[in-house]
Amino acid sequence: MRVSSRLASVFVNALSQAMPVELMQSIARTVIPNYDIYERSGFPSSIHMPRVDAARYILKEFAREGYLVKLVEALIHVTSDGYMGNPVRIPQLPRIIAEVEEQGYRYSREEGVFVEAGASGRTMGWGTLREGRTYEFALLRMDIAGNSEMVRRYAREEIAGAYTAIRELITAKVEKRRGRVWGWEGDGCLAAFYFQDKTIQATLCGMELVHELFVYNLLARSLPEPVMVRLSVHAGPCRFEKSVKASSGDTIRRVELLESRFTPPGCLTVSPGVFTDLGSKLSPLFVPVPGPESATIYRYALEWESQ
Amino acid sequence: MSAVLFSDSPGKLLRLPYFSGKGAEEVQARAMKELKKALPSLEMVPQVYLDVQGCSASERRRLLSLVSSNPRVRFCIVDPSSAVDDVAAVFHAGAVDYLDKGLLSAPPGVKRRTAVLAYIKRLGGVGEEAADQGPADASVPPGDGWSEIEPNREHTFAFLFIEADDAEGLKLRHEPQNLAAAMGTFRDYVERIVAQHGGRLWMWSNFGGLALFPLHARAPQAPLCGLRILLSSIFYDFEESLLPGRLSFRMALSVGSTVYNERETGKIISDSVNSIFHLGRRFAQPSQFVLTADAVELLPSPPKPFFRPVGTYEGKRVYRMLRPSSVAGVREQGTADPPREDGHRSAARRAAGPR
Repeated sequence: MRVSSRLASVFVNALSQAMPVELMQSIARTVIPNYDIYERSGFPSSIHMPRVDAARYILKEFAREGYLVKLVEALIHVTSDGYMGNPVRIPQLPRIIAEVEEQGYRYSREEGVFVEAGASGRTMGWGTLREGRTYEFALLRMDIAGNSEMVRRYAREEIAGAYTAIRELITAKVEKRRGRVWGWEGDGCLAAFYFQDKTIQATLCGMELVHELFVYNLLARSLPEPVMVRLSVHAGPCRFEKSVKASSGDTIRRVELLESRFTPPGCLTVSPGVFTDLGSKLSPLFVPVPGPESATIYRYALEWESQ
Repeated sequence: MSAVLFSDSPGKLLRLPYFSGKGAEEVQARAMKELKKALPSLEMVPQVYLDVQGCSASERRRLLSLVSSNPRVRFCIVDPSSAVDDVAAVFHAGAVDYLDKGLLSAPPGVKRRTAVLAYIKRLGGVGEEAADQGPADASVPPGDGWSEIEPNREHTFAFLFIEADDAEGLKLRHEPQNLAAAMGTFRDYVERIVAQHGGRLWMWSNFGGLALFPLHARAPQAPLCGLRILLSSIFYDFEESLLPGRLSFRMALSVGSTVYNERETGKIISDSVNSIFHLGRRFAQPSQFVLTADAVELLPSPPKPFFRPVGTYEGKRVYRMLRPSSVAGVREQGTADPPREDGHRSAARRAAGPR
């Protein structure tokens, strides 16, 4: 994030007027563990560092390392929740937030983080995740069943038109639930959900896609035959990379396995960990089926009364 | 899709109760300088808020002139310092709402939002589908037919009746205020989907109401609307409903004619309106969606296998739509009615092994 001179000025004034150096350092440590301003700045620890200098140094270091937004989030948290049981007031905090928002971010009160503002600026990491770090995600995997046969059967333009409609539908439904499509690989995609209730949101998104693709196939499909997809949801830790190909790990492999080998076309399969989060309204709609390594997985399909 | 706030200092505004309190909608902040460039893309945004704080009178006029150059943008003037002296001029320029210091200091009420929606409709129903949280649905063609509906004249409509089942049981099980709030969310849910399919919720009374779909529309969406309400009821139950369990409701769809009036619907005398209420309340069973033969004819051919004849009512053949697995057997928690087992394939039987 670019640090404007106005943001720098407001930030330094706000911190230096609101808290001692020790508290600045403690809050900084919630973002960068073991952060030691004396060691990093070379300022002798035997001499009390002036507040303005400390605030200026913290600003410079956090901006350089790309953690300034996280530090502002930490400041927001301590002003609302206090620090170690003590209230913290930063009268100029609203001005800092306004300056950060000027840079294209929006503070999400629900999640307690800054996320990118505006539809045009959507990124894989919601503007808040850092590349190379591991986070807990709920992943939704989608794949078009029988893609190879369809590609052989229909002209390229026909396939392209149908797949574009499907992609738009999936992207809209994923983003409606605050997820992000991480990448498309021909006939399939991987979407990630990061915020609160991520497993529920990923599952609801999968169910909604099962329903909407039913309606699409019934009334709006452009190909003579329905386009069927397989969907799976699994949650776990995953290293965040801006290239989905670079992202790998057990969680991604697992969700791909559930989709490719344990999900019939038109169905959604969720892993046992996801199923336990579903609660009493959703879980009765899923049926247990045998999964990988003797595990029980759970499946949702849109079916109709037989009479 | 979220509402958008154009402001040069959005941080402070977004912390005001109107934008941060209970019931506040999600708002994305953008810099005021982006407005001109963004104008064409704002047609699909449910509400565009324009912050006029710090603007001089001439700057406000320029701003109104700019935003009103696209009549499909629904904008609201946000005036935290209550500096606008001629509020009516704001509406003359096409605004759908005006928020001064007093209004911004309290959370938005359901009544106000409903009133704003009704006002938008009166202005000409500019793209209600924009309220959806996704792009336009490929299965819903444009041309909703409302532009041809003149007030106080008789028109032909598809009538969609919808009502929660077991109203008496609900009254027994829930406090009146809680139940009213729960039914408010049900109404919002129905109204949103009806609007997405080119219809309007015309009447509502406690547990249900009546929606109209003009038959001038290029492709009447009423049957699809009923299907979507059925399919998405699980999401309503899970994400919006205030009731502890699933809400069971019935629907009925028929074609008829009535004099159309936006208000004073209680004074409407119409055989078609009486008939649809009777069909919904006396003929339809709990959690069923029934349609008269002329309503089924509105459908394109593929979905017809999903309808089964269930007899005649007032001389019309009536069909029942098969229920999806997410709806069949639904009952609100605590109801005395037993779960319905009529022919629905059990979930266990449809469980298939790994491929």
